[in-house]
Amino acid sequence: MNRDTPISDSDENDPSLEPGESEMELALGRLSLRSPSPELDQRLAKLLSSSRPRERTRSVLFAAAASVAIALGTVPLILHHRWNSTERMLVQTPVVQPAPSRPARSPLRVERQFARVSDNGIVGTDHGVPLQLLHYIAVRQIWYFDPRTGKKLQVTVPEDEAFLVPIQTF
Amino acid sequence: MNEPTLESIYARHRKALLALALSVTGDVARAEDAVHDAFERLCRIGLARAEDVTAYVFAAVRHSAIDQTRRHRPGGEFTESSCSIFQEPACGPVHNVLSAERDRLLAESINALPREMREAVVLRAFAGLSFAQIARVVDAPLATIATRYRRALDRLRERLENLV
Repeated sequence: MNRDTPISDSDENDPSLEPGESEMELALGRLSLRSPSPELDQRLAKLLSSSRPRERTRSVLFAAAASVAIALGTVPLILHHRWNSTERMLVQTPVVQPAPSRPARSPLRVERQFARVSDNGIVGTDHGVPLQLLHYIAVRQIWYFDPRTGKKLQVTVPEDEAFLVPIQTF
Repeated sequence: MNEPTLESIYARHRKALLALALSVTGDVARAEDAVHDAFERLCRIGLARAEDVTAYVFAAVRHSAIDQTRRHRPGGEFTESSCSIFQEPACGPVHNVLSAERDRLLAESINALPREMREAVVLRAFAGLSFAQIARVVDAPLATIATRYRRALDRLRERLENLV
């Protein structure tokens, strides 16, 4: 270690000394202070050298703690950002759905029909000509839809008709 | 500019640090223990809180020395230094005898100063601290420190003039 280098101290706040006092300081400068014992030097050298790794460890731990703190501070922000983004996506979902390319402007009418014909056989004669009874049963379903108002209307129409058909004889 | 480290401060001020501790304890072994304890504590807590690192270290050593004294003299008052803070004068050539005698008298006079004045002399003349730094070390107003130092120099001059 360096041994007690003289120090030139120039503090502007320090009051200046009288000439006699400066001479006294010079006289003091000739005196030599007692040196610490070699044992104290050794004890402190050991202490200071062992504290260096501790300081390094403290620095590493501080850096690690800072990183963790930054991570802990950043993750919620990222999650919050993503959560908000998801919410926006959910909100925007209807917007990004493709709109109908050609919206129907006039009312729609859809109709379907279920029908069957039953043969009830010869039920009589007309001037000697046999008559066959055919029974026609049908159900018609009709849907109306107005795209401007969004209103719907469903109508079901049953039909039941009987036909007598003369049968040609040979 | 790099902040001074504990190592650099000890290397630069080791004698003054011991002298300050010795000024308080009056005993070499306790003074050395005080310096060691202070540095051990400083190693543990670091220097991050220190505005002026050098003054902070000197203050730590002073507090440690005061603790040492209280531990060994609980409730007692601080006594004036019974052990010189200076090296024993070495035997020199004949033409230096007068000068050596003068230095011996000066050293004795400093040892005989009241502790607060002796602290001011050690910190100012030997450690080279500014009055502002000394004020931080001993936790006293700057003007008080300047007055103590001047009075100490006056006393030393008067004593030397009477003796020579």
